[in-house]
Amino acid sequence: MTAPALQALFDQGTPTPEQIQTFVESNGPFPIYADGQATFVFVGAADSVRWQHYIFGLPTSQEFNRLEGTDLWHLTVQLRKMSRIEYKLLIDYGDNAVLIRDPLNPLRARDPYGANSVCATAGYERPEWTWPSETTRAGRMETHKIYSEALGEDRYIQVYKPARFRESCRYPLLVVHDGTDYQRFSAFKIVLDNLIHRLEIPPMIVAFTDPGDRLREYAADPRHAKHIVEEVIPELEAHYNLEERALSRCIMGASFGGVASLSTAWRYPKAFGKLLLQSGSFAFTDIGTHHRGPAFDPVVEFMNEFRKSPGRPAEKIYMSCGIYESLIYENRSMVPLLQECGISVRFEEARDGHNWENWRDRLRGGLSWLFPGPLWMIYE
Amino acid sequence: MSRATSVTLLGPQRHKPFIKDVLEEYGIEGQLAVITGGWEEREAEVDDLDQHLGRPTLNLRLHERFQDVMGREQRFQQALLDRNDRLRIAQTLYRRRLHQALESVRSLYGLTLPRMELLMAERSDALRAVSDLDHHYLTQIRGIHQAFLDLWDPTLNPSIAGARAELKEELQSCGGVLIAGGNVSVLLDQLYLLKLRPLLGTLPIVAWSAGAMVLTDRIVLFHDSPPQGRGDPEIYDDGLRLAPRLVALPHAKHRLKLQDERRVGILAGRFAPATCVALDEGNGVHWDGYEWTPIGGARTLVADGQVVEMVNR
Repeated sequence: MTAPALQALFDQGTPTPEQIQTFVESNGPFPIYADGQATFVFVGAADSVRWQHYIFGLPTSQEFNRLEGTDLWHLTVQLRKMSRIEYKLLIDYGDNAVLIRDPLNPLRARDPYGANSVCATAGYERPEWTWPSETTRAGRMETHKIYSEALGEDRYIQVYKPARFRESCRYPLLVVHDGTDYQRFSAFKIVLDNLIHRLEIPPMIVAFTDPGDRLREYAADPRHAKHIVEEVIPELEAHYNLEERALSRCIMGASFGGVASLSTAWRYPKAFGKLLLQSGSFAFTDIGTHHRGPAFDPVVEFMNEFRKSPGRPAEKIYMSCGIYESLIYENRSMVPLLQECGISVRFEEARDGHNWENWRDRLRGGLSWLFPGPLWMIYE
Repeated sequence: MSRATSVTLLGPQRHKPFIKDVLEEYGIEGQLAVITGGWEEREAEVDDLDQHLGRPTLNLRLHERFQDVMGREQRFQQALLDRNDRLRIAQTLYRRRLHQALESVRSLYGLTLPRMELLMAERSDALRAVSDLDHHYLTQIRGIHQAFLDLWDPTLNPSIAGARAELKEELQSCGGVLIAGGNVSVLLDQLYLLKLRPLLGTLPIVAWSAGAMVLTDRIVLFHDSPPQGRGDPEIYDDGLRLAPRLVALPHAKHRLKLQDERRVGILAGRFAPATCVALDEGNGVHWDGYEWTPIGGARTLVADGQVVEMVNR
């Protein structure tokens, strides 16, 4: 069904460029979301326009319709409420095609590859605890450089110290994979400042680590696990007063970072009592071969091994995954496996995809479940 | 039993403190003792407070003193841990029953029927069941506290008695007492176990946030939107009963859904006849020994679900 505003334009006959311009100005920004449908609009000369999205389960590319005799292109798709979808437009000019962000939609989500347009349907709102707040006490960052014997090169660790940090206090520890990306694209430092300030999580030390060759190191590479546990942790222990018990230590990551977290905890089962795994790339094969490309070969090998002998990599595991991701099946299938090992598991699904804003929006649920703050008892 | 002297309860004081104005308004003069034990290890960090007041305060260092007693009295510490274990179990059982009881109340508040008088009768009976449960829980934990006190009378223990003697002397030179917020559980333990109430005598008290909560008859923990858990308001313990007939709800604007008439109505109805007072930034209430007077437009929660400006009561 065509959006009413668009239908009204069509009913006037073939619109002039001026009428199209007026329509766009008075009805934008796009897409328009109503009655469970999102209507996308593009205005410009082209041979074809396609909606390129990242929703697993739908055709990856859907073609816009052109209003005959005009440069107005439109597409209406059914989308569920409370959804957040990242997309681009593929504009085909005949001799070349370009992938662009939707010029009629100001909403953007940045990631390491640039930015996408965002379609947020009714009910979705960026959580207020992800925005900077003037009244929040801010933590501080400091950088450590260490030489990694395991990886054969220098590595930098950015360490978050909570506001009102005290040398004499012991703190829980959170180790984050893809630390710089989490800060840039998931507002992780702002989230930490806010959640700690609001007493939803306790003050903690957070080590943001970054990979060198990400697809190799994070694909369950034992050298990476050794680097984290035998090099990063001792460096942190030497500089900060950390709680010693495993239940006060957590390692986390998204996508391949989720695999790296699980692999590290599995290889060093006493090191971390808690895991926070977001959209983990937990590809495995029950039979036959996988079709995810060579980067996944070591991941699948590890996951097959893990699924045979999961052991007890942690006591509490928070997992999240978007329902529009291809990894939803693998993530769902991990839950009973981990629970059967006696691990306390919380799994959260979101109407979102494999992206940094999905991971940002799930941080409060994950961190406050793994590290409950003193909210109930403190009235300052 | 309340005292016929001045008790003032205020909302949070971090961003826009007005304690100094309150002291002037109620003529509280002389040296001020300050209790910041709810701040725990930050107890000594009173510079901002002193700066606001324009004069140094006398910090009673309850946290430090309490820790000192714990360090010296291993058996006392062990008995306290045992007491806390029992309290935790009682709290777990209470929470389990409370959730069911509140669900029942909430379902009735969500209904509308042509014969509302029948529904109203069911609502008040369900609410009474929650109040009964609150009373039952208080009875249980009073028993646990009493068992502990039978073993460890604070007035008989030499370490505690020593700390109390020092506190008594320090308080004799003071014209008033300030009690800051922080961890309500920690603060309450310090006040109870150092048996501070008799030492306060008739000194005027100004308290804010958790400090206000501990002075009331019953301490109620609350947060309508916690990131985890159900957010059911719950009784924590008896307070010091220096601020009668009132439930103190500091940071209400942030912690409670004050627009939600159902939640407000249930909260107010459950603790009636005590008055639920929203203590937010810039407001408070004053007790002169006879009645409560609002300060700065303090609001109360009413059983019909409204939040209204408080009047003297």
